[in-house]
Amino acid sequence: MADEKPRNRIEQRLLVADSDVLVRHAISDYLRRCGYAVIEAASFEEALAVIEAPQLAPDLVLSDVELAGEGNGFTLRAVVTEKWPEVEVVLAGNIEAATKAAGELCERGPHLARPHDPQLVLERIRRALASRVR
Amino acid sequence: MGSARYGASTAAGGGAEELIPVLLVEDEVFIRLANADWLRDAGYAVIEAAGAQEALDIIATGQQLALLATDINMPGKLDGLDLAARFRSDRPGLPVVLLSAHVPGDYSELADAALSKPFSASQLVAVVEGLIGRPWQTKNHGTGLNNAC
Repeated sequence: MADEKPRNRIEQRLLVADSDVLVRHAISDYLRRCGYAVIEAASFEEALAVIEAPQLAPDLVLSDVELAGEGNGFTLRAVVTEKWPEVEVVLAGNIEAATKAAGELCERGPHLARPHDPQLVLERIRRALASRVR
Repeated sequence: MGSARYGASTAAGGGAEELIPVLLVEDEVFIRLANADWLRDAGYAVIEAAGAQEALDIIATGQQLALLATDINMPGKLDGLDLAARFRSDRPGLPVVLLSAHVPGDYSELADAALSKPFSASQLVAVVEGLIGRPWQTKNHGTGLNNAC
């Protein structure tokens, strides 16, 4: 049986799970500007830890399909659905899908207007990825 | 001392706000979340990295930064001291704060300040404010861990 999720929050809380910091930061930053409280998870295990913490129960999860660790986005979705059946999980398989989802979340988010076009987020991520030196 | 000292490079940001950007590096998700909330509540723009390599990825983008606050003991090839040294080299003049349960006795070459874990929100914010100044606005970020660590 699922736990009861804490309510009466002013802000909606999102969990953004992505193992690429350049993508995760850009998406999370955008969603914060849209008015959400965003928890960032860098791996499947980090996302799982957040999901297992009742005081951090998210209103929605936005996750990359591929995650570092012992699970992926599909595994995470199964865990979230088991723990918090009412919580929507949005899986994105690439940066285009992730930014599109972020834009749609912004449309229905706490603020009435987008801080900027999500296409700029996509361009920001592409520029950041191009600068990466391994 | 204040936000003007970090200047701007090829910032990847897209918003109009000019918040003071802090790079926070911590591999333990709940500590990172709490520390990030504290700094955001104090009005800073926090960029979260879960390890030294993630931090280096952020630095390599040219992201404007005012300060690095990093844990020391982290998994991966590089620890927080290695990261501090790389940051000192890449962004000379920008302050570094070490956050660790085991702060080295003499860290003066690598960092400007250190906080021994566990520390409070007021301690963290006071150290950061002392190094880069106070943001002009504060907010209640409210992810839920503000009082937890």
